[in-house]
Amino acid sequence: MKKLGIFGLIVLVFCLAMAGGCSKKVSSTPAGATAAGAGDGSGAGQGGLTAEQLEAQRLAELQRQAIEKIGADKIYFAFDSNELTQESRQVLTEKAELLKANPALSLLIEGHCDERGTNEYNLALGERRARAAYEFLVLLGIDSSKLQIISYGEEYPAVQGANEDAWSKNRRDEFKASAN
Amino acid sequence: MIRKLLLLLLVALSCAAPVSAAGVLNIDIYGPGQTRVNLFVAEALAKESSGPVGAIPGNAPAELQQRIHANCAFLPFFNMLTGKDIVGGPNPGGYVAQSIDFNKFQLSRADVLVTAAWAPRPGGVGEVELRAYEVYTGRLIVGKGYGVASSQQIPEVAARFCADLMEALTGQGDFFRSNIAFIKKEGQRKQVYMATAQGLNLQKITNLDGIAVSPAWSHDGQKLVFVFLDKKYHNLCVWDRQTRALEKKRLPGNTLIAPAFTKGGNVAISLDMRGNPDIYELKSDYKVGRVLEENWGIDIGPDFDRSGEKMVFVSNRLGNPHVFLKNLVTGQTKRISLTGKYNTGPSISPDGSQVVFAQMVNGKHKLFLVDLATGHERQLTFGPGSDEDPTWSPDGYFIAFASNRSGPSQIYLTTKHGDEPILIPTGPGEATSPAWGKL
Repeated sequence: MKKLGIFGLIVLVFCLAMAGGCSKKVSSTPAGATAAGAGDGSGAGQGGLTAEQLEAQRLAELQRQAIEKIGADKIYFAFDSNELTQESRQVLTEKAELLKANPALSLLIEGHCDERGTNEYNLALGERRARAAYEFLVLLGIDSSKLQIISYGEEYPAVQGANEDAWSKNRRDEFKASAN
Repeated sequence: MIRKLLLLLLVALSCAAPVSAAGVLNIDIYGPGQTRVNLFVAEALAKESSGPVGAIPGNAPAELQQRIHANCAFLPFFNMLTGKDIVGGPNPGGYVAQSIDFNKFQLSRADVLVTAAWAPRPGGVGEVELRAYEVYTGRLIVGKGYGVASSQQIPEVAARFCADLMEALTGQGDFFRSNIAFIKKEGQRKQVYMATAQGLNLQKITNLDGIAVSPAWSHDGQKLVFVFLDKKYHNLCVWDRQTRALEKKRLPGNTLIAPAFTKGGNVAISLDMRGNPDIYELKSDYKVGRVLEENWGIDIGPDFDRSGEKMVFVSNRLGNPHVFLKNLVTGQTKRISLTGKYNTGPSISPDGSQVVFAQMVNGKHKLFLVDLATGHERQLTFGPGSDEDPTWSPDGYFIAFASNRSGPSQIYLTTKHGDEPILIPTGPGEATSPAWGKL
């Protein structure tokens, strides 16, 4: 009964976390192991997962979602500019919250440019763009040792095309979080 | 460039008068008004009979004739004539002055005539004597003989002869003795390649999993430095031409931009150790040495003249990217691109007198040249597309650059006079970032 009580608690916590954890993708996450363990009422000692394992799994899932969320939103810049827009600051603030909630994550910030500038100057501009995000995240309290920047200049456009629509999507920072 | 070719300089031909004494055509490639001369490369003859070549294996005589013609077509001061331009037919009648019918070449307005005479050579392709005559006087400009062991040596023979011909006429022949390194796109990767300035001897230098950018040669032409962007870091790479060894180094900071060699053989490069790209000189062990230029903004793209006293670079300290000149002796820095709002990619002429760079004009980059003595600035290129990354030839006459004027980026050649750009063929794939090196 006590064992079941603990399990019930874990399932409850998990469900709350999922519900409050913001993502609509929760329902499609592979939570099968947890559900099975709770459903048949079997205990950890009977071939199921221990509470620690379940907790670890839960955290891993949360982390995976955080990595995905951090990577999903890019920030964009004006031509030859590394100024953060109000929208970019909002996006970075959300990333900072996710990083704080997942202290094991480190973040690679990639600075990119459109093709109109020249290659070498774009490497410098990409650095300025990546650094603008880096400095804002540090201001928000993220440990700088968790952050790394790299400039790719115009080498990896997100969108092909020689028009403002494509260029505006290529003047960007991308964010790659990882649990190292 | 020392090649393992079995080329033999056979003889300084007995009829070769010293060029200096000949008082022949003299082309001032540096002066304001460039002379254009008409050049005809005649079909090869047999040395023995002065008739058609017969006993030479393969297509060597025709290949050599075509190669010399193609080489000379790269020189803007030559107007290339073809057989159809020669009144009375292109056959010169002989290959030495005494037997050449110079009259018909004069009538055809040819200024320079190149002849070739072949003799069979057991175990090889043959021996060839190449001569260039001034048509008006019949005087010999250049006369050279070569032993050709295999047909692969034809381009080398052509390059050597053309180097001597160009040198005799202009005082400079390095165009045919120098190499250009550049970046070639291969799928998602970019690799370093090199070729002659005529696009021959194409060699792939790197095979890296990522993006190679910004190649630059050492002043002696023996080392090539570039930056390699992998999945997480910028790396400094130095390639040794003799050993073909590639050194890869991580440097302090996150961002490595546009390296160049100083006169002393050290690498100068922009690093962002202090929060923005500044230019540093590395020591011989690649540890960070002295600061060459430091500023709150972006400082990138150093390039040095032959004396090592002048450094040009790009800075956005005034808001937009502009070209600056620093005197490394006095420490004085001044802006030298005076027009436009986006000036990048400067290259200083080896003698330190002129700087070429790319200026954005209506959204496209065009080459501009500024004379440092007068401060006068003028546009060099006008075609469609963007012209970027100019690099001076060692003789300070040619400028190679990358352009997408005809589609995907390729390497082109113009001169300090802004002559019509000529494509340097480098095969399929986007080619960018040319860096002109010495032998």
